[in-house]
Amino acid sequence: MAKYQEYSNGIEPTWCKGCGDFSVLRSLQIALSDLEIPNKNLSVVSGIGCSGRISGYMKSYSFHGIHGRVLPVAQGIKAANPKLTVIATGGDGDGFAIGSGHFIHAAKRDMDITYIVMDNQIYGLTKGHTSPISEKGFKTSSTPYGKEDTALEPALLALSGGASFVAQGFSGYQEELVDIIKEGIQHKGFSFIHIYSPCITFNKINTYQWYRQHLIPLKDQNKKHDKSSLKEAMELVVDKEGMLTGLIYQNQRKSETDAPSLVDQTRALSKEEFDDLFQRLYI
Amino acid sequence: MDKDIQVLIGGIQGEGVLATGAYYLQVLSRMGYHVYGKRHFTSRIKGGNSAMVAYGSVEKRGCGKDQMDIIMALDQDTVDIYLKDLRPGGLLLYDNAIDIQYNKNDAEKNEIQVIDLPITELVKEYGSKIMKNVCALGFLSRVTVIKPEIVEGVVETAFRKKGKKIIEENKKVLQAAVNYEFNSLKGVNYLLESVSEKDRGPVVVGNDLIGMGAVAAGCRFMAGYPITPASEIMQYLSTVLPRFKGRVIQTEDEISAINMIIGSSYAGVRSMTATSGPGISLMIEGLGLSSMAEVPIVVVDAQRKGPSTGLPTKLEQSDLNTLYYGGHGEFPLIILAPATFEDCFYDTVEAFNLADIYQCPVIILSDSLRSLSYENIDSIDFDRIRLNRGKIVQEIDQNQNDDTEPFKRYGNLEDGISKRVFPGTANGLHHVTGLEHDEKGYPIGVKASGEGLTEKRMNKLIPLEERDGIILKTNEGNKILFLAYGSTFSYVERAVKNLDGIVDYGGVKQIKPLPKKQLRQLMNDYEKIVVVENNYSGQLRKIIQAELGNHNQLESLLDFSGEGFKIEKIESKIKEVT
Ligand SMILES: Cc1ncc(C[n+]2csc(CCOP(=O)(O)OP(=O)(O)O)c2C)c(N)n1
Ligand code: SF4
Ligand SMILES: [Mg+2]
Repeated sequence: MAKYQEYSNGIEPTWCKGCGDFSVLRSLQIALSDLEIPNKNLSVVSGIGCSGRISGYMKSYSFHGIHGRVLPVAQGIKAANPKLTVIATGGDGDGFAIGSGHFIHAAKRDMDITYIVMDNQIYGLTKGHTSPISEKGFKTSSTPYGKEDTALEPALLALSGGASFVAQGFSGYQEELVDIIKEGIQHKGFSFIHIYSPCITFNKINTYQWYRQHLIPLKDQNKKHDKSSLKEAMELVVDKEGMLTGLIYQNQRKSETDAPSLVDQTRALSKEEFDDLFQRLYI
Repeated sequence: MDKDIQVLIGGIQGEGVLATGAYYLQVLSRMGYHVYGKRHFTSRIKGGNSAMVAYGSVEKRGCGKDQMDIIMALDQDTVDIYLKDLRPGGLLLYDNAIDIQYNKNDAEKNEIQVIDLPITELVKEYGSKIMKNVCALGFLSRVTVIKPEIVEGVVETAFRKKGKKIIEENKKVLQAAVNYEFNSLKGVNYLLESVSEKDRGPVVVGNDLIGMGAVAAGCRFMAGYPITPASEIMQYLSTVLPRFKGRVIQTEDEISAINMIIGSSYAGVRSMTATSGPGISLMIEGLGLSSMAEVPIVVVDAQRKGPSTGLPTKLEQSDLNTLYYGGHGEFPLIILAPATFEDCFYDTVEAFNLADIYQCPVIILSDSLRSLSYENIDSIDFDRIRLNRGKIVQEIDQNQNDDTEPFKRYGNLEDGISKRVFPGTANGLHHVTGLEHDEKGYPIGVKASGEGLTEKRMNKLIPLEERDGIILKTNEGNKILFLAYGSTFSYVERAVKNLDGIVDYGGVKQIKPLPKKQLRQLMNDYEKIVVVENNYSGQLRKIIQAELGNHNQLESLLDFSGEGFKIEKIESKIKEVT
């Protein structure tokens, strides 16, 4: 048994054969095994969508919540027990439509969690509706005459929200994906990993081939940008219209001390503590 | 005869009338009185009026009375809005910096005594504008002839964190008011004497006790979004929890708040949120998740008036239907409704216990009066605080479960209550989902029966139907029972006592599951049951009828004015049915 399989619960995913999410699942498992994160300290949280099923295939403390609310749940888990490695996962609709409000605030709050979005630029689970990341003109069952508005740029949203780690990947580039996920998990703070993960069933435009043609791996670029510069990161995303893979931005926080676990603090008060609380009621 | 006094202090919002009222209540509390205070806001944006009713009595009441003995007006609005509530022979005090207008004929007819006070003037002379509230307090104490030392003591405590200088400045203003000589006071008879040597304790609002109850229950995480009339709970916990290594997060919205506490509770910390109607509407999907995933949470709903934004500062008890019948699908939850001030503390502790024991959401159903009324509390019984965290597994032996198979998080179908294990525990890995799932927490998929664990979840609360969830106050031979919940209980109690207990009365403290056993007994014992609530449609009465039948025996007494019941209105109903 390969080492990464220690992070699999053995259940066969219900995803369509060839779905990009298989590669994300595998990459996540390899990254975790490379980092030797103990399963018992791992919590994988997911939203609703095809992508949201990912937590159900992990050998971890897995939580499959409701549509769009993966980040609040993940932040709650991390706040309660900072010793856990918390991985939040979901789709583009989950994260950038119904959950978009939580996204920028989670970025701003900058808790030490990793947020992996499997972006297929479509709603897979509901059988092919348009997504905020679908391109203008994109035809789906809910936009039969073409999508009216332009696509949202998740990396820009994350950067302006204050995320301290922003990276992109592609299901077709698994090696890079594993590296990025590892870096994201190791980063202290909110790590946003935006992964283009094709839906082979409902998105006939943004296919593996299409992504291979359009995506620019940053590692192959001669001119390196300053990853700690918010300005350069933003310019890069704007210039390349988001069609990038690799680490875009990282702002290493210094001297970060781990918050204490709240779980251990759930306890009864002593009589002295209680009397003191009572006295403090006086206006 | 019960000695009591009721004063209304009103002025422009931000002038500190609430503080004056609260200090005055604290003064009365030091003199041994039981106190009750109620805030009033009017919905006017530009410098709207706010007022506080301060009530003191020898007997403990949990509510005030319909009419005022004294009105202290710091603006014209106070006179316009509240003069009608002054009892005949009452006293109208006003700041003579305003040129107040009122109907002199009416005032004369009602023998109302009108006295002008140099509040603004004295503040200018002896202190600064922000001390108007202390000056008003001084005059109020002067008129009701309270020993200056007591008032000074309260001011000292209230400003203890602000330093000596501020205390001295405030005392100067206070003294100027207390020593002010005015002839017009001759014949005023509001002498209040201490009725007990014993200080009757701090004056706080119900929300403070809910917050304190949470801390005592071991709650160490709160996520919330500000809303009237629930915000004080977050404010209290924001101040206190860091001292106990706990944490409060003000989230981006209520949806985030409820999902965040589901996450934190799943990870093992007792967690809560607090909101009001609009926030409850946003939280409903989260309640379903908590119930489906069997993750305990405590949610306070301090009800306010109306759908949509409604009348945010007014009272109503109209969220019950939504909470009782729940969101989409069918799922169990518990609803507790603190009837008295003290209940706010003890019921909160109980809410956390029940949430952990039954692994579902517990709603603390409060309302704007229960949450925001002031009362004093002489003590809280430390020994009554018991923590029960239910079925939690701290350690799992590798021989029992070695993670080749997930921990059966939803196992034990006998009493429907499964064992919980927190992330971080060895050999306890499992999956949690809002999808219908099996004992291992895995989605049941299309092949399995659609029933899933519905019965396990729904049936686990049945034992609670046997509990006595209604507190009863009875007299031999009464054939009629008045039932209420939340803040309405104390108003019913007052009305019944005013009429010498000619009907029995009770407070429904556990609304869901409905205490069916006890209610069946009550249906046998009484000819008629009148359910008193602050809403338009008689929600609690209809719920009882839907669950137990007995349609002829039940009747409603309703008020949806937003101001709460006048005691007189309840008295009339009692007279009508007896
Ligand atoms: C509140 C709510 N609204 C709508 C849905 C239906 N729904 C389920 S998944 C989904 C969108 C899925 O798209 P995405 O997040 O991109 O995930 P994918 O399936 O593409 O991986 C929708 C609209 C739901 N479950 N809950
Ligand atoms: S529908 Fe698309 S996103 Fe969903 S499993 Fe199939 S390929 Fe993947
Ligand atoms: Mg998608």
